[in-house]
Amino acid sequence: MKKYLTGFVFSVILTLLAFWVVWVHVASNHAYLPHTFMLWAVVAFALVQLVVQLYFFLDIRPSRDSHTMVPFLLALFIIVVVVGGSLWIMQNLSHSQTTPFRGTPSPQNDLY
Amino acid sequence: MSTHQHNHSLFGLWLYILSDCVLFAGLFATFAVLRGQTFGNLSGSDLLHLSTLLVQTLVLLTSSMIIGLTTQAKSRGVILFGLAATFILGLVFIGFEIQEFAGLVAAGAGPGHSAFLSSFFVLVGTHGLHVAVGMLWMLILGVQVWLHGTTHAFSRRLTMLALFWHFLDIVWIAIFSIVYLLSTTL
Repeated sequence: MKKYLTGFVFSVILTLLAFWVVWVHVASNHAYLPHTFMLWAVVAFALVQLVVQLYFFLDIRPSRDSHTMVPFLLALFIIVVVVGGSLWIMQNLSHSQTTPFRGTPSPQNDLY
Repeated sequence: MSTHQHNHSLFGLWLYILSDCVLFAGLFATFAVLRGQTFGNLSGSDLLHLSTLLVQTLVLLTSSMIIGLTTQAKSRGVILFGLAATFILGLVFIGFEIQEFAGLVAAGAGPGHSAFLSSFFVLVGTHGLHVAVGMLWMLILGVQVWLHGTTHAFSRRLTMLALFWHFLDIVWIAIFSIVYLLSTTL
């Protein structure tokens, strides 16, 4: 019973922190907090909350039996390869394109 | 029902959940690659409504805790109450999502408009579909415990439902962070 309440409290705090960072940014009309900082802060809060919920809600801990941990680590590996690999490849492709890969088609982009 | 069989069912569900994670990883990768391809229409930061998103997130998080607490309960009344509370919170969550989707389609920003919107609707919609299936599962378990009480098979099913529901909350962490909050960095 206690583990669910602990996990819940930690998750609420981490959620509020992530929202607060973005709220400060939006409320100041993007003046406060550079984009790189926001990116890493939101990703960091999400990763910590991920670990918190895996630990307190799903009981995933290193001491679990291999039946649980081996498929879990395999799935984690596949996820990292799929998501990380896609971003890496597409980022490289966008560098070798003459027009920027990101962004909407706009008159400025035609200059490059 | 032996504990041996109990562990087998849980292991099977665990494998299903992990392969579902891989499916979501594919959808996330697609979204991350396409999120700049808005074709001059709505982009990610237009979809960000912080207060609604916060309510949605806290609703799903609370429901995840309640279903976890419900697995620890022994009496039929408490279990029925826990299932009902989780179901209602799930309904609130889905309600917000349907409202958002309907608003986008009405504003001419449906899934067919741009690559960004396609990947957005598929990713968030797949999660919403999972939530709806979880709610159906809750209804079925509610009827079972209402009619037959807390049998051994029932508590196994309840544990499996809780595992599934926790998994949906974890996927939602990634969605609200990457799809919504990080849209401000575009």
